Amino acid sequence: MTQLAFVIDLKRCIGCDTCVVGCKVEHRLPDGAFRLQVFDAERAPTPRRPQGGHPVASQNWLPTMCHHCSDAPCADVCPTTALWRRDEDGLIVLDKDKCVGCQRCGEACPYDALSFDAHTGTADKCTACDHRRDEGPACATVCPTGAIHFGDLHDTDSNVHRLLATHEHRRLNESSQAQSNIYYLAP
Amino acid sequence: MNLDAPLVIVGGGQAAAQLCERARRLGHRGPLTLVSDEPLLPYCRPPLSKQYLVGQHPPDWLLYRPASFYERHGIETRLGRRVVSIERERHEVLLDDGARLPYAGLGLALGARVRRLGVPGDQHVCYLRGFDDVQRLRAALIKARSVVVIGGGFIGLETAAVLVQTGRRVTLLASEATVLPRVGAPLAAFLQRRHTAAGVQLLTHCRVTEVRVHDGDAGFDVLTRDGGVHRGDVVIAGIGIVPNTELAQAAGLACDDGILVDDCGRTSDPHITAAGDCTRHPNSLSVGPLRLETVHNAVEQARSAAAALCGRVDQPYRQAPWVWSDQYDLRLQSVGVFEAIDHTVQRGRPESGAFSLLHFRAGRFVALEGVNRPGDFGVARRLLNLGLGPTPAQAGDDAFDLLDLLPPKRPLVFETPWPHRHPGSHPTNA
Repeated sequence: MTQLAFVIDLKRCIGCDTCVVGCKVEHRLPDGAFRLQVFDAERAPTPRRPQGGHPVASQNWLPTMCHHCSDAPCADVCPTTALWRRDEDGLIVLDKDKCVGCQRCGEACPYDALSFDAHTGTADKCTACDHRRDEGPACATVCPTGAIHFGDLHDTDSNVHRLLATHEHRRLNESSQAQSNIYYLAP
Repeated sequence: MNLDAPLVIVGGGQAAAQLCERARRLGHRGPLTLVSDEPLLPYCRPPLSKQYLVGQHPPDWLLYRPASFYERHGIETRLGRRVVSIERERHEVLLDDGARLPYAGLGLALGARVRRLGVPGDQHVCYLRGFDDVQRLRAALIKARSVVVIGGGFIGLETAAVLVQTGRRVTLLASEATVLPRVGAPLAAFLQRRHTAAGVQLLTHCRVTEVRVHDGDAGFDVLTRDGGVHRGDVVIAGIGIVPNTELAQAAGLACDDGILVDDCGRTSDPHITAAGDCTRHPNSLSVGPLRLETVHNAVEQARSAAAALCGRVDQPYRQAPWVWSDQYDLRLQSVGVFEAIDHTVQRGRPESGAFSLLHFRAGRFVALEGVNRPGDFGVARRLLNLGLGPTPAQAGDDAFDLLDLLPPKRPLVFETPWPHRHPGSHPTNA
């Protein structure tokens, strides 16, 4: 069974927000709308300011979008089945024509990964660029340091499988039991 | 309860499906049977009076969960079968085909049925409640150029909105002085203007006395008490629903305009829970018990009821009720309990097509109604569930961001620490 997932290498992320811009351009998101964010402030488990000093300084950032959870709380609470987990690839799909804008999903999501489109009155979120599956998600394509990887966790030939097999990794807020499908490699 | 013991769920809506789903999620492993007198698996009713009525969606589009869900979770479905009695002493339900299903726990999601006009000619009227109703109505609408809609509630207004947008001539007859008499006056007036502007002939104070076949063709005349005669090729009524309590009453369960349940969905029999439109339940925002006819109630109450059914720790259902309606380019959303409101504050302007009404009781924020202000609605729903809310002064200040009243968002954390890394070290990247 396929389970598509992101692997994000925190060592490689330089906080340039190119992924954010790539996502906005690909999906033509209006001003103020995001499906992907890069945190460097108090909500993220990374230092707000650079640590250390020249020549030994470091800073980390945390890109995050819909985690396409295997047991997604958003899909569980959605009263209209607008959000659902697709068996074929494990992605969480949002059918906007069924969404009534109750925002229960945003409340339930342990990652605050659902945004709200005030123009359409519906939820909005990362689709993992479902419409360009062969090319991969725009965020991964445009990342100048190659920090974002995407693929099938269960495919032993996939890049994400290989990275997780060989690198220390974590998921955010694991006690939520949502079973996130964004894995982070050590900063 | 023994999680290997049999459960029976009765109903064909979202509450029934949620009872099944939640029971499995809570670890129930035993036989689980869903009995519905409808031909479809449990489905979502709200689209029936909205996009499904005139759209091209297939029936599967309505399903709350696909067929594969029931197969995957080992849920036996008995569709098109009616429960004729609950034999509480024997812990069995009797079906209309003579089958008997034993249960250790029984979940009732019996729903509601339409309230009928009860006037001469009622048999000519189309009602809109179930899948079969909408199939009949869709067939009747194929040749219809004019429609009379009876009822100024959500169903009537939604139906009028979708039909007038297809080019049909629509007359809407509301029995009260305004449409939606239970909502705030500015909202009711706004909606009446919007429907009128869209071409709906909207008449208030209209009590229907008879529906007659029109002389000479296939249409109908709807007669009203004031002497009016309103012509339509199709007549549709949406004048409320009546909870299906007969089965529970016959079994001796406590009922009073709904099956009486506690905030965990328990009926007067500890082995039987109930959820959805058929129940009357306590709510902290309300003076007395409520009977709600909403999707939110069906889904959330069923979660609590399933926990009770499975013998889990009480998961009381204590949420502010909410509802939505789509009409034209308007999304109406309301949340809270509209009782004994003594003060209302408006945010935004009706002329702009986007505004909210925030309602207060003795200075306490108790409800919100909004048109195209989903942000206000989302915040209000969360605030009410947390027992929070703006003051009237904050509510009236457009510059005040209601979001500021919510607790901080949860932090994003790696709960397992990363291995220590020496500053300045550069581990090899793959």
